[in-house]
Amino acid sequence: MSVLARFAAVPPPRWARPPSRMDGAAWLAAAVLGGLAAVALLAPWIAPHDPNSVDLSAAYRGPSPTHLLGTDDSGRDLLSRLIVGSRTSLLGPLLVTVAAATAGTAVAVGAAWAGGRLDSVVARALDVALAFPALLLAIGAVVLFGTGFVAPVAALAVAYVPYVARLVRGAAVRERRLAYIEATTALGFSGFATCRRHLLPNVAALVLAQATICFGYSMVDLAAVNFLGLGLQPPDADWGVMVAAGQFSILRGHPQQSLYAGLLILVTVAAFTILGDRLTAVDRSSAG
Amino acid sequence: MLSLVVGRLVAMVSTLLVSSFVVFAALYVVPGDPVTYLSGGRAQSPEALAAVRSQYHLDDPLLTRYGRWLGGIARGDLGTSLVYREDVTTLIGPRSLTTVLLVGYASAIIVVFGAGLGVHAALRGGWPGGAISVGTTLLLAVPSFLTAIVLISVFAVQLGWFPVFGSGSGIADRLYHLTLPAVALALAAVGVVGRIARAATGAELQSEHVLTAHARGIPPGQILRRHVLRNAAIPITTVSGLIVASLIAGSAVIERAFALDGLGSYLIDAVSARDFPVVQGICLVLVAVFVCVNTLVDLLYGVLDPRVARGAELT
Repeated sequence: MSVLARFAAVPPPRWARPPSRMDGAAWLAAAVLGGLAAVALLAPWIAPHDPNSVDLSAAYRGPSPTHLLGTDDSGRDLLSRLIVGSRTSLLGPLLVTVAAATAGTAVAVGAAWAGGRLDSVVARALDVALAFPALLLAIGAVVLFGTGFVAPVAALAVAYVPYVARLVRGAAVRERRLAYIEATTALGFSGFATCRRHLLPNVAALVLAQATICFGYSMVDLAAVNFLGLGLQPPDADWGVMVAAGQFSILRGHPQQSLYAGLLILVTVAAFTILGDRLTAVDRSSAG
Repeated sequence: MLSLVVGRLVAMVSTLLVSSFVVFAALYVVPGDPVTYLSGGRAQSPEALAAVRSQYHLDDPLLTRYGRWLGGIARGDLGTSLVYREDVTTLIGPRSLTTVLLVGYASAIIVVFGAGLGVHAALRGGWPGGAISVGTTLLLAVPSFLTAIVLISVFAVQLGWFPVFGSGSGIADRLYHLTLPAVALALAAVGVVGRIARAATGAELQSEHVLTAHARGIPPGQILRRHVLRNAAIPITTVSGLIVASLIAGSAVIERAFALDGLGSYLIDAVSARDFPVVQGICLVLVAVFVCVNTLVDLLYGVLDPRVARGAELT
């Protein structure tokens, strides 16, 4: 077989294929995320036990009808802790993503609309801001404002603004050159109204796709901050905190706590990555 | 090429100046008097507070203090630790070796396995290609601390093939101790680089200049080396460079999980102890390395793709 024939057997890369839409994997990912969101909302009512009730005589129990996933080193019910922990574990990245997407879009559309010097200054500033690793910024915020939920979330929200803004600015600059924008301006609509009613809806799909991807990344970053002991503190039930708190149990041969919490993070991030991937593809197809 | 180098170096220096100012000034934008942080937050006599004030020149304008701080850095003086009362440079020097080895080891794994698997998947196609692209998508989502605890649990605790904690002594022993941490740090990045490598190689294989090369009867091996891989190397290098740069900050998590005495774990200790000069020093070093690696990647572009260098000359 000639080399060329072998080469010809390669499927074309994703972007060269006809645009993909929501496929089975994407619907599965959406279903998983919907389920997790429902669990987080209903957590206090569906958790079978008090997540913080300690029973040292019941430490490291295996799965049983009372404790479906067993217990941790202090005899606390793992399933209940995972269910209650889903609240902060999902709320943190949600706040980061919403804040970063809102601020990032505002900066990007504003800069693209203003154009000229302001736009190039913003573009350069975004490049410089990207030079700062998000995790490092979160760690820096903790040293200044102390550990807890708020400081790392706020720092990551700031750190993720350029990731949204850079992409959206590119799209907004392209959009601004199109005839329909010129037409609305000629009709006498103000810049703000044109941006809000015409430009923004046309970059919204891109913002959503990028926000979905940012959710996954910020979840890993926030979990890492909690894992490093700089965010929420034990005994709070949070997936990142649980991974860290379970570390010494691993050495005793009980990896369950760290493993289950870590796997939940993995599943959530994977679902967001898959969904973000598909949304980007859908957006490209609708953008033509 | 020369104008590319000059342009990139100017951009690098300005980025370094801005980020060093952020690292320096962050301490002073926090509400409250910096004296309370710098004296450890304990109630002290007015004389002691005045001494701290003059030691850090707190009565000078911010820019003057920044200039003095930069001047100190130029002489290799990053200040004095509030906790250990020692030079920050002396404290972080030996610890950076661990981090350099860890990141270097992980980078080697990423480049060899990421690029290797991706190119292999593109050339082979069929189910190995499919399996690799599914596998790399899943790898993307794996947080490094999860990899770390799984590796510790399986290979260190249950099988006992590798040490659980510590950095070891001597170069061979150090590398042996760093194997699991490097794999944990590299795994997700292998997924990213693998995906990019597969897409880039696949795109090149489809391109017209490769078809033309086949039509001209150039030996397949030569086509692969000079026409396919050289072009595919451009996106692979970019992504690898960005990822290696991001590993520098990410190594804190891995060093913590494996109890290595690197820069990252020392940064976390210093944050917990609110040892500001050490935090500033380590952040500065990490950001500087990050910016330098990014510049290096930009310059590598010029070497890999002569159009970039020529484009810079035209402007």
